Amino acid sequence: MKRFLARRVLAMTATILGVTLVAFVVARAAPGDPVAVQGDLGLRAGSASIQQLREYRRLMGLDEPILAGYLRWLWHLLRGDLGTSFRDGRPVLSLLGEALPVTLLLSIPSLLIGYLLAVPVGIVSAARPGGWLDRSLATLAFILHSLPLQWVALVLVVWPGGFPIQGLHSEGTTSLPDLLAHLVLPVVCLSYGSVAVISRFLRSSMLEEMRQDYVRTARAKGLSEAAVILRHALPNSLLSLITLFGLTFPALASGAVIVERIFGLPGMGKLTFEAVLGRDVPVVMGAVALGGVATALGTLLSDLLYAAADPRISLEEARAAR
Amino acid sequence: MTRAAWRLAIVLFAVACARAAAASPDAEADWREGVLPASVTQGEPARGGTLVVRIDQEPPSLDGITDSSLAIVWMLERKVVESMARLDAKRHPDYPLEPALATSWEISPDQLSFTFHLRRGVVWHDGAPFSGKDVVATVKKILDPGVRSLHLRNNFADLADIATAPGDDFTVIARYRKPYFLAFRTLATLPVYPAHVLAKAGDMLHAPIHRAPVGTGPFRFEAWKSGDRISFVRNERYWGRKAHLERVVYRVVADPAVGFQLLKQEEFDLYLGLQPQQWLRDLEAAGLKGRVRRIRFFNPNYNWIGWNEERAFFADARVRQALNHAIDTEAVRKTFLFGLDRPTTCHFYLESSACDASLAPRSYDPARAAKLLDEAGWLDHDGDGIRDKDGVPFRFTFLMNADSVFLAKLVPYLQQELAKIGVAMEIRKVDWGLFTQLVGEHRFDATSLRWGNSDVAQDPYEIWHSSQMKDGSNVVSFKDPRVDALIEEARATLDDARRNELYRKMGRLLYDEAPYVFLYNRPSLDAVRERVRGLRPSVAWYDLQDVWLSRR
Repeated sequence: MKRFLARRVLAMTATILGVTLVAFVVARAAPGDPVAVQGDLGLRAGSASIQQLREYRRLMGLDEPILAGYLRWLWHLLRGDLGTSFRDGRPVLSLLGEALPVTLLLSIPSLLIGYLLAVPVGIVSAARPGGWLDRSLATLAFILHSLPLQWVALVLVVWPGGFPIQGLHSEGTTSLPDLLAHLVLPVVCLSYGSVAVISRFLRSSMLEEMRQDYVRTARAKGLSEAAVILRHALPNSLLSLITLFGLTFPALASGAVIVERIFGLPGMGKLTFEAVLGRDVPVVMGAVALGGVATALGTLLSDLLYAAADPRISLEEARAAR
Repeated sequence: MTRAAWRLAIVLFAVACARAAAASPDAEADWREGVLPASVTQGEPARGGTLVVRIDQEPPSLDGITDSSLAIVWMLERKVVESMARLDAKRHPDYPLEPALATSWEISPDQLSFTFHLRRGVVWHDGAPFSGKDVVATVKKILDPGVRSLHLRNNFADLADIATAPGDDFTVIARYRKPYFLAFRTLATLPVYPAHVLAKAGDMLHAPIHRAPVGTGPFRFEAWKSGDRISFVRNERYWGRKAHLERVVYRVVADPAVGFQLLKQEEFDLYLGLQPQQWLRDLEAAGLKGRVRRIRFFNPNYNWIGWNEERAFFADARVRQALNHAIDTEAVRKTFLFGLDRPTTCHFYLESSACDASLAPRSYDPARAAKLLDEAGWLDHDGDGIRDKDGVPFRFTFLMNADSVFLAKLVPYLQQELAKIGVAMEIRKVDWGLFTQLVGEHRFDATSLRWGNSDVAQDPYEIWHSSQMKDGSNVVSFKDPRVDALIEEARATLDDARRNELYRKMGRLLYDEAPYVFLYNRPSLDAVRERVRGLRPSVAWYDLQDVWLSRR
């Protein structure tokens, strides 16, 4: 187990290094100038000029070679320093520290609700494939899946059903019920699509399992259909959900640009999006590094979950085979 | 200005106000035009309350020294930070200066030396006393090469020296190397920051003052919750008349549909930046007429289409005139902009006397456009439907900022119209970051942008002088020795009337040379709740110090 972890951490580090190097090169080599994007600078009568932009580039360290810039960034990263934003001079670490909790507040409930709703729907659909319930749930899933997020969000804004449509808190309160009320609409937006996807995913992997010999055996020994599905088929088909979980894990930290913008939630999506538009290299790099870590963690976590869920999978596979 | 002249000006202003009120006797006209009725500024102010203002995006910081964003100017100047003198917001459209942190000033006869007598007993929001040392420290900070303040530093290129008078911290003397008409106004209206804070602020970017300004104004900074709200509270130790409002909260709501919904729920007292359609139709359709008032105010700005004169197509003035005649600017204004913008042909603020009102926008006249192109030698020699000259087809690319809603409509229309007169235009959309770079480096054939300014007084040098092609904002490479000479003469002309005459002359040359298609002066479209009183739009935005909330 220790060996496995050590190997994985090593691989993760290499992945993150690769990802950040590519991101740094792209961010620095991308056309458009981080300096020119400072507000309306450079293009407002009576304010700025190209000569100014050149001087700002020097002040921001944008005149150094890309590779040297990357190594400097890495060196600072090792000392726990992600640099400061070009835009407002604040430490990237504190910008991430402000945005990440907002994003987690949205993404964790959305993920949980997605799975909690999708699993029963998947089971029910798989229990009688082709039945009226399966067919109507399938139709519903396809409708949900094809509803554009922006449209749904705006519909909810116009008919909010009494829920707040902006921010995380009402003026002057920080109470939990108030916070939860503010989360309702964004979480609905973020979870309806995943309910559709996850339930269809689970249905098909359940059907796969239902065709297996052990299910026939279970039925043959006289188990009730519910027991067959819940005790035998379901645990086995959950493996595929673990894969899905590993894939969606990074999204927990990456934020959702559209939902954050519409509902006025200053999370990772907004931060990253604005940093990209503003060519704010330190912030982009901070977000990429965080995304890289989340991706690597997601993979690691799903590997561990596999091992826990399925006794046939061993993390020490190399030695076990010998 | 003598005291008698001031009085006369005030009387004239009162007469003008009365006339304006008489011209729009009913609320219907005010609603239509987006004008606040005179009654809004009358009555006994009530004390207290919070004014909630909707903004669509956060300013990059609250530091006018390192960021040139107009939002910072509006949010801070006159409210949180103050200058020695300020624009008199009641005297539209000339906005002469009135005393603020300085009580009086003298200008030497050669116009090279300015003496400011500062107000005593003023304290900074942190309690420290204000003096001339703060003014000197602010200018010194702007001149510091390690500070990202070039947008202000250019204004002080000819400053020889600034210091407090010997033994008198309340007199500031500034000396300049050569006379420049904007020198006094720029220095006088420069927001002053506290010397003791600046001393510890380094490059400003990494100091607390970058996001938490310290000033002397009627409101002091309270808190900034990123992506959510910025708030200010009344400064109880203000030297002048204290603000009526207890607090001002700016709430960031990016999405226009969400913002409008919240406006309906009466979440805002002042709503900035309605979309034209919302302003024109949705407010009324949502039943808000009577509960809110509409405001349409024109700041100094204009949209333009520019032709890069480094390209052979656009070198000839006749070609540029032809392209101007090919665009039905009036139809564009009415359909794409709902008729809310004002047509302009002038580089300056439309109401100022620097503009020649007799220069009407060029008419839509494709036949004339075709004739001008013929005269310039652009004919369809090979019969492929596209004009050519010396074997080069008239085919160019229009560079546009992909975010612009207006250009997304205008540019395809332009493409169609130009095709009719045998000119092929392609469209290239890029994001703002790349756009500014390409335009700054003159890597475009034609493009469109908007210039804006926070003061009515401005120097066209940076945009129209030929020396500004390389490092300045003369992005279309316009070069005309007559215009250069007029701009230079105007810079040294301190008499307003004489200088405006030079500018009108320059305006006529620009009109004939047609380097730009001058398009429109864009209004800010705001809405304010009925209970908000004392509000007065001006080019210095709104003076929230005078605002109160009516309790009826």
